[in-house]
Amino acid sequence: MTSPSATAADAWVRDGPSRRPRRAHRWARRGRRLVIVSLPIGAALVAWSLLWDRTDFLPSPSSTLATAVELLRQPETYTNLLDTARRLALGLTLGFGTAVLVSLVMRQSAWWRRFFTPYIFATLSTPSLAVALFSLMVFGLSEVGIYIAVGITIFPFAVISLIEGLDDLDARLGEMASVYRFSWRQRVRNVAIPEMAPHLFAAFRNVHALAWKVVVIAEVFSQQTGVGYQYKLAYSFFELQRLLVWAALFISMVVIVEYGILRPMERVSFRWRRTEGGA
Amino acid sequence: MGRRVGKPESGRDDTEAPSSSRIVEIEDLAFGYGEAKQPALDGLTLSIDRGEFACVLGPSGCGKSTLLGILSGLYAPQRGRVAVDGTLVYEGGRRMAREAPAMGYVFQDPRLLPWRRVRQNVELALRAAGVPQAEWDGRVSTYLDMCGIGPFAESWPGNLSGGQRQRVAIARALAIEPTLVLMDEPFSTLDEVTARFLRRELLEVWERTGQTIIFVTHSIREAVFLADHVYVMTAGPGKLLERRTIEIPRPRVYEDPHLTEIEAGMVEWVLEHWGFYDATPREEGK
Repeated sequence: MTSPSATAADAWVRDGPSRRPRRAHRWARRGRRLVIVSLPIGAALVAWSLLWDRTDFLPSPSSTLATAVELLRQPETYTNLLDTARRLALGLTLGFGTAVLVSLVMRQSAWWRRFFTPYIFATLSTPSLAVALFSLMVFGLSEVGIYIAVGITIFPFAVISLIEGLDDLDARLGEMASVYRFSWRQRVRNVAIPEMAPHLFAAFRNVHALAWKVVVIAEVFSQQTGVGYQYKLAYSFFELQRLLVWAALFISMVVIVEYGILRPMERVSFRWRRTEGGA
Repeated sequence: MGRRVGKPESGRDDTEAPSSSRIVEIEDLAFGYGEAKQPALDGLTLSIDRGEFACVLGPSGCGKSTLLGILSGLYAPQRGRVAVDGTLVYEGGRRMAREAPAMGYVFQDPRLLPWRRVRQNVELALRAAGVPQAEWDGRVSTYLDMCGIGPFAESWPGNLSGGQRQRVAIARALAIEPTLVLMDEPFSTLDEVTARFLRRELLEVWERTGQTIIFVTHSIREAVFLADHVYVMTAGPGKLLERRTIEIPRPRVYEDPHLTEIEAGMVEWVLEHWGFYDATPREEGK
């Protein structure tokens, strides 16, 4: 077959549009988004500055800022944050790993689907506080109870998303993989996981937000470190500014995971979608 | 009965070619899908020579694609014998060879992995075929260039046109240097101009590689233009009606009046044999 002529259109198809305008456009878009997100935060801060002394419970912004600076200077603050992050990571791994296994088994036959459905329904409809208390009572006050609580809570949400993803797998690509005799590893890595990636990300995003809350609740009841324990301390001494600072630190951690880990991973995974033909 | 142009050899292929020159030998093949009342294939017998461009022609539902599915290992037949390149793959409906000879397959749609670049799509097939990694670069360049898409090796499939994607699929099928290349109406979803262009280029590639191609189509014109032999199937359940040798010298021209003549004769002939005259009253008979 003859080579097509190297026209500007071909170059665009091959290399994509010039990077400079795209990058400038991306920064402009990010700037606009930042302004929009900053507006409600700024409004809340202004309202707080104006109204705090009219209440008998709100701390002043300056005293809260001083508490934040003080906490950020203490190494124990970071130990507490890391403890919570570790418990979250292990609980998520346990719950998500179990969900992947169960969804693969459920896909094997209708019998397995029926077998696991009651478990999914039961865990889906049980309040996460009850799951946390149950796990802590059964597994004691060790960290294992937290992992189990997180695992049980996120399990049904992850299974439902993963089953949807598995059901959506394109049989035609499966045929292609069979004809070309892809190995089991090649199929999983190059066909199944990329195809399921949107469902995997959606499932992970949903369950990771839920998991943070469960970890903190479990820490309140069972641990001597972690963000949940710090909430309990702040409540015990009625230190509202301390509670607010720990809440802000907690939100920062969630935001860091979302924007520092999940979104960049998503951008890399879906870079092929930024093409003329899309998916 | 219409005119017979070309060289018909009725029923099974009984040419004088010795068995060693035959790359595909099929006897009494039968296959049915699940609960379907009528089998897709029933008693299909044919053989194809090494290096041949074979077109399997038949109306929709005659089991053409099923035949490719059986040859590629996607489906197991319920009855019959299939041998590919001297390896007995199925006998009496049972799988005989654990590993059938390698096949390249070009589907109706390109079936590329959109999340892998063009180069990676070809490399994945090479890896699966057990081609040593040291040969990948050479093979990818050779076959992408041969199919006219070398400059797009690092592109995402989503950035290519339908015709370009199908070229990648052809390059992938050829790059593993298979025993057989199976093509299932690969140009049927493309516009006519692109399809004509790709047909011509496919013939060039075939002549350069010397690979055996089994090309399934329901277009008589396409079959006559491409094939050394056209294997005409019955309307269903599928079996071989006739093998016709197309004796037009290559290179062929799609607009060649001689092709038109053969096509017209074949259209008239298949209308009769595919049961159209039984179902529909002829216009001139009114």
